[in-house]
Amino acid sequence: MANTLILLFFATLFLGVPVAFTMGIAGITAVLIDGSLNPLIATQRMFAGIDSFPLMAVPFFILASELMTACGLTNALLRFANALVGHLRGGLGHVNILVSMLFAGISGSALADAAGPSAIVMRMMRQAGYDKNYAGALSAATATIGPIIPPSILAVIFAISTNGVTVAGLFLAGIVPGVLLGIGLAIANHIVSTRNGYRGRDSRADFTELRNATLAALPAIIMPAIILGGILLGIFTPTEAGAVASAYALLLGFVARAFTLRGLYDAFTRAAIVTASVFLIVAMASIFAWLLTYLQIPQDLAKAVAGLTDSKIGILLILAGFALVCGFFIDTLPALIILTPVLGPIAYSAGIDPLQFGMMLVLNLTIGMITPPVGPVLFVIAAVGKLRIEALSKAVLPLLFAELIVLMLVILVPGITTFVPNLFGFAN
Amino acid sequence: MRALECWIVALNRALVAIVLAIVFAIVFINVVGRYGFNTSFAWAEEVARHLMILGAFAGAGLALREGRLVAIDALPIMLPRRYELALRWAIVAVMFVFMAVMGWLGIRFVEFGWNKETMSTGISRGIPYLAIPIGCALFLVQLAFFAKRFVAQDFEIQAGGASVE
Amino acid sequence: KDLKYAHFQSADLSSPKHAAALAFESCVEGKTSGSIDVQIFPASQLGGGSEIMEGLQLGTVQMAAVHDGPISAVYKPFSVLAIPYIFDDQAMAWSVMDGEFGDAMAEDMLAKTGIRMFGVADNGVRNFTNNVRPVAEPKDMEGLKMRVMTAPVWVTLVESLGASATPVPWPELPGALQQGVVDGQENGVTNIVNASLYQHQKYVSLDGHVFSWHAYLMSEDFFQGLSDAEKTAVTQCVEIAKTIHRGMTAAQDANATAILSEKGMEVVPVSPDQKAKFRAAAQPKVREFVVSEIGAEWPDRLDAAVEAYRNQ
Ligand code: NA
Ligand code: NA
Repeated sequence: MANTLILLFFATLFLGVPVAFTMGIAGITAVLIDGSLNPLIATQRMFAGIDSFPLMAVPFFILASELMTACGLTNALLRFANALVGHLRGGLGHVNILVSMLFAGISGSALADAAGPSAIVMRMMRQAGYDKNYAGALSAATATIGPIIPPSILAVIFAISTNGVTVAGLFLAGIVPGVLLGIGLAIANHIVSTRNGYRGRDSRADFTELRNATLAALPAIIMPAIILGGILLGIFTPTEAGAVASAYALLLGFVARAFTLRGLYDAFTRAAIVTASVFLIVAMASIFAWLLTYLQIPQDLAKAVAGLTDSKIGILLILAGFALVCGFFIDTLPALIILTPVLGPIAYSAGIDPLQFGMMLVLNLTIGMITPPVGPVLFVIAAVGKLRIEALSKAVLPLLFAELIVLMLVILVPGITTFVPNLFGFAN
Repeated sequence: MRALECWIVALNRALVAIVLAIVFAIVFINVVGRYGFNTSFAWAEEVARHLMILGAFAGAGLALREGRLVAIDALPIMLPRRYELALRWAIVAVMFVFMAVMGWLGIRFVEFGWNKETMSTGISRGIPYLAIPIGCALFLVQLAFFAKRFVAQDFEIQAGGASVE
Repeated sequence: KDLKYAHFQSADLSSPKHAAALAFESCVEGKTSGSIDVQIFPASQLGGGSEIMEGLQLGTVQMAAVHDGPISAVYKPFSVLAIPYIFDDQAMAWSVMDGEFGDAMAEDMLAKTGIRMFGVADNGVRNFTNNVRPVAEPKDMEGLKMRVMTAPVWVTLVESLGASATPVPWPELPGALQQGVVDGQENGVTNIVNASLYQHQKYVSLDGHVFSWHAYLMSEDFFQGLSDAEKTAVTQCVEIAKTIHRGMTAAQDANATAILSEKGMEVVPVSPDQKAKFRAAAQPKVREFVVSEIGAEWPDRLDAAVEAYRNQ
């Protein structure tokens, strides 16, 4: 049964069946061929996999970022970033990074960033004479900040499948790594820009421009503060925070008279359809993950890894390597759902803080979004910018290197992920 | 035929949008109720959760139309055009059979859950389970209409979303 | 024969469910010389309570130790045990559940659901905790936001005592307490300690409103497929598991004061007079609610069993 399951999964994946279905098809076929399990287990897991209140943070944060974009705040963020760092060497590159960090405070998804603000800056960079593949690569790399800085869809999904980790705690754990990613990419961008002679805008923004840009972007800039503040003050749970964020975006849109009824309806429809595609993957992956557990594959793997080393860092490095390889071939979300129950227990029994492990895994798999052959963010950027995957992959290498250094820091220094949550009383 | 398809797509879109709007309203009103008026509704969490599941399965067909069900395309793209088309038709067939099987199992699962109760509202568990057969049926209808364009990879891109350049 | 055994506590020896499961495993495999292979799936690995109840009926799980809520959703009469302040002490609770009352319920459950209930072990005696003030009487509950499980019977219980009931799913509870979304909650000592709920709760009132249970359940189809010798082995080994599980949980409940004050909580004793006030406020209303849900048969039987024990 285990062989049928895994072979069918890779076969359908390789043949080009949509990723969500590959796991369901492999699961139900293995169950039917084996004959000893009631096939209704597949429908039960499909339902149970998305039958979770904390998971509802996902549609709400998707809705919030749709509404924010619909009322023009994404463009305001862009002008703000440009006024702030546009004059530096490789200025538009830094704008790309900063706008992704700001957008990450609203959105929980790398794809939303890649298709939205990052794609816009990519176009601006190309017009300003940056190499088109570098512009695309930087947009892809910066988009990965989205799921690290809170809110984060991946953090929600990790937290709900792990005892003792709260969504709020994992949100806080992402702040420092998210900022480090930004700094790492900024250094890489500085080096590349120096080498290629990319300049910034001609003059530094004057006070008036800076003030106007700040005021226009302020409603979006304070959104993360509303989300995290509300959670930490006990006004709402992280799930409800998503709904509050959406309500806030609705309010801003109405005040600014930015919505038409049609635009509002489209924003809800789009958020609902994006949610459906995310939930379908979660539902199908839970069939697959349940069967792996049932066949005791994670348990056997845990025994094998535990025999290799007893140093915490050693175990983390092995797990990170394993997750990185999985990230090459499996899409981020299914990989997270499958690996969380498989690798988590190995880490916890070695005494690794679940917050550190969780953030490491999320970062790890997010980096997998910009690596070929399966790199969803690369695909979006390639499609939007009409670039060839091979050329884009080559241009992304220096940026990938910067991100891997941040990953190493997260592995070697537990405080990077645990300090902020501990400060607010989230401890294990 | 074309008109029928438009109607079904419009209805399907309205369904998922309205479901999301209701879920959003329930959760938001519950926060306001608890914080502002010290009341919360025992049913809110469960109803919101089950409605969202309906919205998710019901939106699968629309996600397909918009090309949001990502796949690893390396192999089909590498193949000569004739084989690529054949492979994509095979993928359509596989998706169709799979969702038909899941829909049929979904009906049996509804029957299985019919005499059990949900925890908060105490309705039959079979009712939320209906999301699976409903979602699969909608998906099959959408796939039947869209199969040809799926094979040609001619997806519907919605305005405002991922449409840059 | 493969026996997949699911439970919901973490996989370490200090979890009563896990210690009991490990004892069951070695007992059964020893007695049957390995003809039954027990595989334990701790920490909800195979799913939550509702899914495992369905799994027992679907045959995807053979055995499980399940808490009250999910059982009541499949077999309604089990919710009779949520009537508060019904048992005077641990000995009485065990005696009623092991006696005629428990047997009759197991028989009825088997007939209606196809799930065999071997017996029950403690999920702890439930006490109120909160972060606002010491609660010694119902009037102290006034205005507190208490987290309850997401079933209406618990809402009725907490509201009958004058607090406002906020249903919060278990996974969100630690966060909700920490952030102060709710002021308090109610659970047994084992859960308060294992989920670190004491970190953000200052007061615990030892009112012991409900004795809650973990039932040892098996798929009847699987049980009937066993040889007579295997059936005997399983039945005997469940008794051992139950004894271990009860001993560990009951020891924590009995030493609640010491354990929880060591964790930094202020333990508020509840005198018999004060407990009578709790009972008078809550029991009739919850009983009425339960009767409206499942009829009077099982509440009457439970009263009769309690009465019989007192007259013994
Ligand atoms: Na984010
Ligand atoms: Na960017």
